[in-house]
Amino acid sequence: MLSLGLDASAVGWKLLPVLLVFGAVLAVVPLLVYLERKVCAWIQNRVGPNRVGLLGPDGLAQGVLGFSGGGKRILGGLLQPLADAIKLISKEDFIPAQADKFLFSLAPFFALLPPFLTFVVVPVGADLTFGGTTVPLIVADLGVGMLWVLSVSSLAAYGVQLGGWASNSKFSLLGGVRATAQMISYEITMGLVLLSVFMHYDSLSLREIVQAQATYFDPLLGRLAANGLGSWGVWHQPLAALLFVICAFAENNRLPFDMPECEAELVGGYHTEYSSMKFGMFFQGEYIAMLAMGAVISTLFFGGWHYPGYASVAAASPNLAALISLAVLGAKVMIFVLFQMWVRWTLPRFRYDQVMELGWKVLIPLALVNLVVTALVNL
Amino acid sequence: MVRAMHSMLATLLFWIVVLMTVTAATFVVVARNILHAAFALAVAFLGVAGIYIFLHADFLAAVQLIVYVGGIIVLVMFAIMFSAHTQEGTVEPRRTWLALGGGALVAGVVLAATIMLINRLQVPLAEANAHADAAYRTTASAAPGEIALGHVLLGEYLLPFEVASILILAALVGAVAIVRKETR
Amino acid sequence: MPVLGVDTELMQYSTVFLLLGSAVALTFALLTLSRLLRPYHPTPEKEMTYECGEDPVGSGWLRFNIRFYVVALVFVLFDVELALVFPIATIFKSLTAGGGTAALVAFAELFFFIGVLFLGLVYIWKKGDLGWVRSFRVPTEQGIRSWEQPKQVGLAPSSAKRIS
Repeated sequence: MLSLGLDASAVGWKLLPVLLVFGAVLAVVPLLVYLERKVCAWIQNRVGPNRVGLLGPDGLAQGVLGFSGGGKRILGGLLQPLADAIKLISKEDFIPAQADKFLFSLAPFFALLPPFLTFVVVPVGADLTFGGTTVPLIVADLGVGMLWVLSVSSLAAYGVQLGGWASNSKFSLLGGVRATAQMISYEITMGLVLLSVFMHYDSLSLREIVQAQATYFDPLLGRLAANGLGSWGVWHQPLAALLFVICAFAENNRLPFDMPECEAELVGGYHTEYSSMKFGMFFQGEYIAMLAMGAVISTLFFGGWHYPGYASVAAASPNLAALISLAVLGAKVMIFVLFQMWVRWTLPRFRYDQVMELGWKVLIPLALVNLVVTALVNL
Repeated sequence: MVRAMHSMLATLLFWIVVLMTVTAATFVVVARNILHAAFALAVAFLGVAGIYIFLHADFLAAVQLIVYVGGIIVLVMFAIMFSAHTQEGTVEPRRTWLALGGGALVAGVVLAATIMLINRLQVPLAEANAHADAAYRTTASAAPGEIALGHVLLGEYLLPFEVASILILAALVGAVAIVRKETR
Repeated sequence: MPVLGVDTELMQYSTVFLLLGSAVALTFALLTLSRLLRPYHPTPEKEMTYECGEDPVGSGWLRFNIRFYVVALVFVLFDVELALVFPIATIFKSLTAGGGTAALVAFAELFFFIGVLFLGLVYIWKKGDLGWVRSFRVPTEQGIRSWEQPKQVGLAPSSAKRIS
């Protein structure tokens, strides 16, 4: 009887990481939208959204309660994502008359769900302990580990391809086809890079990959040192890290790889014909994908949730150490998200032929060389 | 109780996956719109990946997703979008008696063979399942499928493995050469 | 009869389904909310696809460059290669841990496999299948046409360059 009770609570605790990931993604995505607009404004020497706030003129408090708050804008623009969401939800949704209505409505799901599922295998923190029950902060430590990420990212191509085709619009079709070809081209490089990463860590599991980055051989001390930054994958696989980051940009269709959207020539590409919440789903999907890629990059190459001093904090209080590890991973992910924004608003777009030639003629040979070098090093 | 609940949930999921696979596969055959058929095939492949998971073949499921869903169906969709007759996406099926009869014959033979196979395997399969379940529970974290697969590929099946690379090379050269001939 | 999925591995997947289910439920909730709130006044103009303000010419489902098809084709073959090498990369360290000839043999086998893949890449590279900018001639109903010409959707194919 007792064992059954424990089983029940173990099952209950398994829900915790699911709730954590789901809640964090939902809470952070609107903030990212605000952040992206503020960052781009800052880079372009503009103000950015500064009206829709809580207090001050134009604020929510004034609009609803008539309270002006002394005429100063405090955190103006912070509620802009809320306003955006209300706008997207209440906009009229029209589907082109000649479109393939079923696939048109289905495609946004393929843009939104795969990045969500990427988080499944990412360990978001150290194990928590509650009265003898250990709760690993990972949705599911699947045997296939990182291959899961590769699998779901291959599903993401369907969102753009079906969306582009179903619209029955030339811009959309071009955007969708370009996006698909680009995503599959860079997926090869990503797979080759992952081969050398797996070889280096001797594992597919992201959990084990994080553990492997906890200790490293310190040549000065002449022994294994714990919790240093020296064990980060990026020092051992620098080329792999660089190639992976490039591929992450291409897979997410972010500038300089935003060929499928190309506002200037394809007026939005695969989502030209989308409006209302269906467009909102593509939009959300892009930001979730940014988060997911940030999480995967920090886990593979930048120590994941590990931080210097983890062992000593964990010795005192494992749960405190786990909470700090959550914050550490969050900070690392935010750094990579900001990096993606920085790149987006700094670099111009590639031409399509440049994207393909870069992928096939530069990145794939480099990834192959990296693989052979990794094999030689591990010989 | 929790265990029973879990097995019930798993059984439910299994039937959902099976239903999804069979429905999608049926749709592949009856769909008028050829692109819908291709998409349904992708869903059917997804379902097959789910069945692999139920068979504890996680690695195979991942490969199924990466290669079939992410690669081959994309190729099929490109082929459909590229080909001349399907510009509007729909094709008129040619329902001749010969086609119907031939199809029914093939389906009947496959069905009969499957039933015979299941009948012959029933007892060993149940035993094997019981063994596999027990073995899996003890070694789930110790030796995932891909590790065993790696050893087999570099040991017992080394020659087929290396020959496979040459086969893929031949396929690559041949396929690209045919496309090139078509376009020049 | 063995019961499916009592073991831990399938319990892992049940949380995956839970996350997927929550995401789908949320999306449906948002779509339903939107359906309840938004106006719906369709007009033929609204349901037209966008084409720079003009009425769209012809069908949107135009055929496109076969080079995309070549990319997908090569991708599938590379993908199969990758799938075969993944298990080996994962155990490579444990194979070479002993050192000596066993390690060298493992490396040689992997190198051969990768080398053949690279050979394929070099072949299509040298033959120009990876080059994106080049003139391409594709047979159509109107004869052979150069891809450097614009698509001419719905217009008379008068300006299409004909070859032989």
